Amino acid sequence: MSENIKLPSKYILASFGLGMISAFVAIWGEYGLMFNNFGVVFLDPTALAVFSAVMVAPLVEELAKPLGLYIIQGEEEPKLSLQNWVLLGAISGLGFAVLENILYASSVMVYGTDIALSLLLLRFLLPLHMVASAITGLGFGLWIKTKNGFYFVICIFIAMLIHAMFNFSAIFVG
Amino acid sequence: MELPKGTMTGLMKVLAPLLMWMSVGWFAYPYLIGDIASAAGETIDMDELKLFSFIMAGVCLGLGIMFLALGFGGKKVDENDFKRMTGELVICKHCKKEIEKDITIITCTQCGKYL
Repeated sequence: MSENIKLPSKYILASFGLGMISAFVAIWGEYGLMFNNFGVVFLDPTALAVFSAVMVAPLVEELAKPLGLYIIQGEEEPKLSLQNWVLLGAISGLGFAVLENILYASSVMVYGTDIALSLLLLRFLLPLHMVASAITGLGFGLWIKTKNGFYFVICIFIAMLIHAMFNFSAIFVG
Repeated sequence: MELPKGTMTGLMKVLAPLLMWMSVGWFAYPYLIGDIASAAGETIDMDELKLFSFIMAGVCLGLGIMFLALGFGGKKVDENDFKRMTGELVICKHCKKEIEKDITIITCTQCGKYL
């Protein structure tokens, strides 16, 4: 019945924009907070890359990406359907991915524009952040609807797990 | 607390196209990463990479098709089921209509009798 509740465009824009901003939050979390406080800089470079991609990135990024959802609910407490929360989660992930992909592509510009564009295309063809954030969005929606935060914890853990497995395969396969 | 039936259909509807999109990405992965890796001076076992990528492409495509069928063909969740779970709906003892719990509503919106 309420599956057809209209999703206001202001929430779509807020999720997308705050998803982009959450990329900066994640960068601060990953480099400013985790590395400085846990002293992992003493590990060898391979171990550091694995630790960063498989442990730190999924944890920090999956917590940061639903920033828009936290703010929308905190500020407006909208009556949205569960599917709308899933959609807002996916849109947050898209916002995050847009900024992160641009940052990654710009970091390989030294190898040439074609390489940067190939990396940008490759990263846009693998919408991992949208998939993971959609699952987090489901958890957030269930939390709002059932008043039980356990669903959010479970869903965000699944999102982190998928993210970690994806990064692990990216490191070890290619 | 058991979730209402159809809770996952909303997620499946969103994930189905994303997984199909990801399937295309995995299929293209070995072709695009080769140039990037050689520019960065890294060597990749292309046979292993192709095998892994094509398996992932197949898995994503399969899941995407399954979610498409389940998401659009399965039962949709009734948002009132969540309200029933949390006790946000009250049933009028006279006409049995379900009404959203609200301290300002003291009479049934259908039969007009006191709740």
